[in-house]
Amino acid sequence: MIKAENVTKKFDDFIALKNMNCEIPEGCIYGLVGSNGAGKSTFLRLITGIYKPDEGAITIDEKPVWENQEAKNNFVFVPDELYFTSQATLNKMSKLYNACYKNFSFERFEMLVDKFGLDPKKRIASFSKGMKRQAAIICALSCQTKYLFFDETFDGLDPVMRNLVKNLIFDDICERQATAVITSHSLRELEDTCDQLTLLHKGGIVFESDVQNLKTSLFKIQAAFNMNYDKKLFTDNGINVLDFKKTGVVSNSIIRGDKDKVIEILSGFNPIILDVLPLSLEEVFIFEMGEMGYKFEDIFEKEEEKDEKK
Amino acid sequence: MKRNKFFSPALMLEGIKQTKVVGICFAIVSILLSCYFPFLKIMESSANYWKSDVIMDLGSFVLPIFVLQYLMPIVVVFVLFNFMNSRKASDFYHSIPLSKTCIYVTYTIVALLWSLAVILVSTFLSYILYSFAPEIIINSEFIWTTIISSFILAMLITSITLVAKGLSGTLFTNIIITLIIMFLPRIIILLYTSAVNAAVKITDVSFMSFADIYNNIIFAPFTTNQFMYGYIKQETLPISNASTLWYSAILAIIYFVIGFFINKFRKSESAGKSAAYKGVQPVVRILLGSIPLLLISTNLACGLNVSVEFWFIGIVISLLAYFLYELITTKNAKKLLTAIPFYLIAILVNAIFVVACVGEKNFILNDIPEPSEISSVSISNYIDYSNAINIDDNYYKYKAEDVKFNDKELIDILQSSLVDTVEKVKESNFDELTRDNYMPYDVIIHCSSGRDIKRTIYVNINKYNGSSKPSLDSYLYKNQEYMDILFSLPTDKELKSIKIDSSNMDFSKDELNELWKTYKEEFNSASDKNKSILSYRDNSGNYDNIYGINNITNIKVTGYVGMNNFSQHYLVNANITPKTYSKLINKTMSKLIKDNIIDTVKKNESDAAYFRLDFSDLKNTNNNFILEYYNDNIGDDDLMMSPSVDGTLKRYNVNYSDSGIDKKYIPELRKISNIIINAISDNVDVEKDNLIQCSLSTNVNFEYSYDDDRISGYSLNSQSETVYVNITDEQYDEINNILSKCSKHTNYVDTEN
Repeated sequence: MIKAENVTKKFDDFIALKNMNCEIPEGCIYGLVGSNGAGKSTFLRLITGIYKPDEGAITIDEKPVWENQEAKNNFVFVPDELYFTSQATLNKMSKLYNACYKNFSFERFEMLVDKFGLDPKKRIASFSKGMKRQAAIICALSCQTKYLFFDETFDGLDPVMRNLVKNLIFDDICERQATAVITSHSLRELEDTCDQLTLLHKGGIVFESDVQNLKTSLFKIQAAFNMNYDKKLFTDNGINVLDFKKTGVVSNSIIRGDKDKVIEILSGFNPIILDVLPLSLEEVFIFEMGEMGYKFEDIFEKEEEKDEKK
Repeated sequence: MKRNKFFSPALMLEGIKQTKVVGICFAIVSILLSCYFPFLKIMESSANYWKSDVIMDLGSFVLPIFVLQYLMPIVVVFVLFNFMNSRKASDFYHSIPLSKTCIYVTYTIVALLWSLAVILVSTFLSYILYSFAPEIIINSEFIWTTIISSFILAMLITSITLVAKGLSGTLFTNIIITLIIMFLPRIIILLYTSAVNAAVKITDVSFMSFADIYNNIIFAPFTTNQFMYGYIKQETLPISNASTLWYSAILAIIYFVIGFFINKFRKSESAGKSAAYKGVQPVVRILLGSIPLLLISTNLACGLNVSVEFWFIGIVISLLAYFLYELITTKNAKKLLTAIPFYLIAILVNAIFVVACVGEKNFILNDIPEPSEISSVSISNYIDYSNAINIDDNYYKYKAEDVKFNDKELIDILQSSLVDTVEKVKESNFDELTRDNYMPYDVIIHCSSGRDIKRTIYVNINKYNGSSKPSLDSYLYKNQEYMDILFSLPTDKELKSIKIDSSNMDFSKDELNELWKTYKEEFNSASDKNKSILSYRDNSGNYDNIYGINNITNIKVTGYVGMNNFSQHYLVNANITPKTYSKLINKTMSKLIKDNIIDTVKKNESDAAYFRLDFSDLKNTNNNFILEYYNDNIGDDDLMMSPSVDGTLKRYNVNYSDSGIDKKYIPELRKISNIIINAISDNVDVEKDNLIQCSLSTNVNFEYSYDDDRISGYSLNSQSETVYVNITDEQYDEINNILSKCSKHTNYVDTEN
């Protein structure tokens, strides 16, 4: 388990993380989302022992990470800015990783090279951005470590490759009970990947939750009744409605609670239409954050707008 | 599996792979240099008609291997630790399961391995190549001296570069800080000591003996300007001194440890920044700004006037260095404004420097103990120094430092002389002390408090006894311990090398040890007077003909007294040390025969078109005989002079002096050289009474200069060998007959007889 307790990290006058507390359980895919400058990369660099926290402590399996060879041997880190030695080829990099990680497997390396279809003898400098990222992922996954840290890893990968990488990570989680920590500034990126999600904003955790819980605790109901009705029909019957919109006779409601129970209550009013629609993670976030007093747009929209412009 | 925290063999292999391009490039340069210099030497020796042995000196051997180690460790460390200059690379190295300590130690080993490999390859390659020229003799000890000294240089420069890499995060600042650490401490020490010494004049402020510039292997070679030309003889090359090697190795370890801690606490986020720690940036800037001002400060501290131009240039360079560094490293003009107030610190540093120099000067000049406070004195330089060779590193000077004199009168004389000396210095009348009536003494004053004060005291001879020698002598000669030192030779423990001075002949270590053993026996059984003559300490010794037939040559010994390196000459004299004398001559002769030198002389004689005969003082005290052959293949008018005869046959009271002998007499004159050559061939075992010394010179050693493959010029580099010849009365008469026949001559009256 990875544990961060009251971690603070400053860069000159800028506070990148402030009193952050977090626990990452084993065997899950843990997502860190947040806008640029939220502190995701800083947090990853702290848990990988690249940075030393100014305050607080970070432990992996109850061992401090900073300057701890044994602890570091349990994880591999794929940063957002990749590093390869000069004149490096995939083969050369595999030897460097092999020199560092005791569980490095050349067999797995060859299998991955084959899967990604990269030439291991070709200079990495001549690879495209996406291929470089694939090369780093190949090296990292060949290390067969207990923890895998990916910083904006899906950036620059085409959809096919994204799926391949995601599947490989899933395989590692299932087969080796590995733990992956993935950061992204895009919620959509992590939606179908992570078990746990943590939202970082301005150096602090806004909230963290199990994705499955998030998705099941909130749901959308599309309903129509042979009577004039409004939100009261729901609330008066003990249903927690976070959002209610009605067009004609058809209403769309975002509801928190037990899905089956809500359906049972609403079925009693003989609805013409009664559908439960799945919510996207983004929609869940909007409502969850709204409840906490944050505006989703403040954290994400500007970034995503930037992405779209790009 | 528990991993080694300090070293990773796998990472070492990776490091070697990463630096193989740089390492191989340096190895190639090193191999080329290792081939080029032996090739030059071989060519040079093959142009030598004498075909006599050329003794290789350490300077020529070590130079091409040594100089490369000034640059190679810096480049290799820069490549290996390049990750410290890039954020992403630094992050990678911080995230892998290897501790910083492990990376630091492993990569340092890689850098040193490359240096060692290049040093070993070049050294052995040089040695093998030189072996293809059998006439070039190399002391096999050169191999170890070269390897050890070059490797220690590599260690020191590697460690310094590691410290610089740890303190900075860009290539530019890496280089600047490396240079600062490498040179600045020495520059400050040098300026400080020279300023104080120049101001005080009566002591040498080598305030810490380890701060001596000779000790630092980076600087040691440049303490002699001959280094770059490779002419330094083994015993004078500072890089072979044990103290230099020890000091530099310890300094390298200290820098390595400092670098270790700097690296350990260095943050990954420092990569790419000009300074890795707070305070480094202003400190470097201030140091850069201070250096040009130090030159002004040194002059001020010496009490010299500093011209307006000097002030102006110094300040402009200082400001440029200070602000340009800031601008280049921060790329932010606004930062220059914030840097302005800190410039005052550069001025303050210089003010402290001047104050420290003046303070030390005043302290030294006012530090005069009362006679009652002095328990004893040691006098190191007064050993009839006026005749001593190499007084600066004289053996007896260092030995005498251990002898303590506690005669009250002597202490009084020296104390009052010190007061006089200091007054003269304070009144700026130092020149007065350098006149004839003053005699300088290097004195160590041992105070009752246990403190020692080292001063050069100028004693007024006239004031104390009015004779040509100060009355101090009597105090010195009364001391048995002093006298024992005066008439002793360096012990075997103190000795480092033995060499026959002024000889081109190579003697093996065993031969030299045997000669020294004989010399020691003769020296020890000689009278005190003769001991003084042999060690060049007696005024009455006849040194006019120092390389004449009686004083054939010197044995030069070097070694250590404590940490001091001494070099002492001992005369080999036909009368005082006859056994050594005979052994030396016979060894020289047998070597000449062995090396077929006589055949070479004969060949030269038959090829020569012209020659010069100089027999000045033949068969008298000096018995010098010079025979020079000029080869007519050269075709130079200046050298194609008419044969000349110059000299005196003392036995017949005849002075021959003719620089324009008729060419028809050349065959006659050649007969003289035949007589000499036959005498050399016939008499290998020589008797000293019948000896003449014959310098046989040929113009065989020419250095040509080429212009488009055409010889455009040459210069004569005369090669001569000294041989010793028995010459019979008949042969002597024959020489006189020939000379009488072919030369104009004037009667010569020997006034002495």
